[in-house]
Amino acid sequence: MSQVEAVGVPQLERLICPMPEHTSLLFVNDPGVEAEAFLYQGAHAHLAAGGRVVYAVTNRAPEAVLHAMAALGLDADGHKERLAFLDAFSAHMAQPSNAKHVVQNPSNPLDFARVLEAAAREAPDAMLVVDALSTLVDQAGAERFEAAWPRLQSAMAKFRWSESLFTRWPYPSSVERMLEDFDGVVQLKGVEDRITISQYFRVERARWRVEVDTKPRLYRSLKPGGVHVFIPKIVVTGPYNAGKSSFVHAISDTAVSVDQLGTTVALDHGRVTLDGLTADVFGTPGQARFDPILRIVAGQALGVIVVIDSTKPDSFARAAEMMNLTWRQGLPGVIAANKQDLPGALPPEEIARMIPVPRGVRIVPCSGQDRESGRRVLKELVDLILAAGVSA
Amino acid sequence: MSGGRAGDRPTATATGGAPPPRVEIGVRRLDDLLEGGLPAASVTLVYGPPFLGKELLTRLFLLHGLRQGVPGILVLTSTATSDARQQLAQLDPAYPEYEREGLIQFVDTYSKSIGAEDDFAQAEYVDGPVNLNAVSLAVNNAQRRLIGDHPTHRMVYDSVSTTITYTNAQTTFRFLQVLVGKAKRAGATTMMLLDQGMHSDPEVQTIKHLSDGVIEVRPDGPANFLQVTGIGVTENRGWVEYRFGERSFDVVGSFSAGRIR
Repeated sequence: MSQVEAVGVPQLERLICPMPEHTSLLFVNDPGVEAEAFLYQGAHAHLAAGGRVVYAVTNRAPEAVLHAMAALGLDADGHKERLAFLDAFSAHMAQPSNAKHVVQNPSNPLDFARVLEAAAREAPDAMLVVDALSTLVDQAGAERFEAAWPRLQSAMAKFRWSESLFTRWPYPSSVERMLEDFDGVVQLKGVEDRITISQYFRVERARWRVEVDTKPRLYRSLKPGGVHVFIPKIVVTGPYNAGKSSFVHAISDTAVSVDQLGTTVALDHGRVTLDGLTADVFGTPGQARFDPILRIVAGQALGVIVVIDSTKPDSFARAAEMMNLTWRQGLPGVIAANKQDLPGALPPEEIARMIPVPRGVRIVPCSGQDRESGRRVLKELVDLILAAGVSA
Repeated sequence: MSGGRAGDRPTATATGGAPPPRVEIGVRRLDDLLEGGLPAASVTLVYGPPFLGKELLTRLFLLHGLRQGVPGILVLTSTATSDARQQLAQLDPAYPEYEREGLIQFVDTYSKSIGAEDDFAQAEYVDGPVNLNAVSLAVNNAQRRLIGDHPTHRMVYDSVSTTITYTNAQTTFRFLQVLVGKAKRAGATTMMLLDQGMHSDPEVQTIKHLSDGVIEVRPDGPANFLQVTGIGVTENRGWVEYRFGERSFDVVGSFSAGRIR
């Protein structure tokens, strides 16, 4: 039996794919948290792989879905012949619909199920998207929806697999219990400080996997770009002239520095996009007179890269000192053994004997001006951060 | 916040003690009736039949805040942003300046639903009144632009009636329960509009239950009357006559304020 290999969000795929066929995956979002992009990317990934998609939309016109996908940079137009909309919105607004499947009475979940069954008969190999299941509860009322749920669930199971969205308004507990019927659940939640300031996803359940990584991942929905796991602060520190600014600029897509005659006197800032992940990188000055601000810059960092000049062992003591200023117990960290391309550069094993390296911290060789080697250092750190769980 | 403006600070009363945290509406005698204004971070339902100046009252509330440098969010479910901007500019010639200062934000669930080509940088356009998560997200985005520089803001939801019409009272209640809770945490003082005659009594009671109080309006012959319940006003002052025109809303009836201003 073939499996589902892609859900369109690389950092989520790592956690839940492959999925067996006929899996029902549910995204449950807090109100006010960006959620639809997960569905758009899932649908687009399947279309791009040559598959068919039935996209059921309940709270806006199908054209709005196409526009939103385009805003994320997802070209659905090129796959139109394999993308069929199931429109459970237009009739509610007394508007005409050009969709292939139309629900004439969207407030009746049995009518929705009937149209869904017909769509499944036509395209049983298609992926089904239900955007959003909670609107069906809203339109029908909790009791009618609960009564229709077994048939709805059965209709959804006729597709190759399904992805649904459910906004968690304060529904009765009986509605919440129905969410137990899904094979997989991904929570999309907000972090609040007066308003929702950031959002994270967390795989709550994936019944097809023996072990599930349930750690939260902060994310942003970029237009264009779609869902990116977001690491808001990685600090790059190290002794004076170790190559920190060059490192930040080399690994970043965009970067700025506040410097004086080429020496960083405030901060370097870069934004990196890497494998469905976005990180903000902050480089510190290296001179001792700026040490008071190091702790401030390192505050709330999710990871630290200490850049050292592999050709200058006399600067390693200073590197260790800066490590102590920026590190705290359990914080993921990597030492970037920079300038490996220069004569006299010490190999990582030798550096490890000369610097007191905290447990779990790896020394990764690099040449800071070379983007690829710099990104290998970053990737090493990102893997450690994701393994630790992005703090939400 | 612009220098020299008072902001939504508590207004002092003559009763002594700590000043109650009140936010002036900007209609002087109505603020007197309210013992200084609406409680800060409260939710007030403005309820009554159409064409009695309810909408005007909410716009004056927003504009009074803008004049003091307090930003506002106008959530529109049955009016386009362009029309609302025009109306605000007619009410206050200085309104374009408030826009330039970035003090006003719109959440517009109407324009896209009618295919209008409305495009204003300080507006979040939602693709339909039923997409309630998108409305919630849009309000959050609007607040994100304001709260960094402003401890408080004002919000008007115009109107609850449209949301009920496109969904139902129960769904609207759930949605507003979340929205109102978030608005309070964000420091918003909110007015919500509800039209009388469009909804059953239980529906109206359901929505009233979400509010801290109600300003209710009704016609009586050639005159119009309003009554305040809740919103921290402890004394029932009955129905008080008011008049409104294109740009003005005045309480003209007498009432005992129990204090001298």
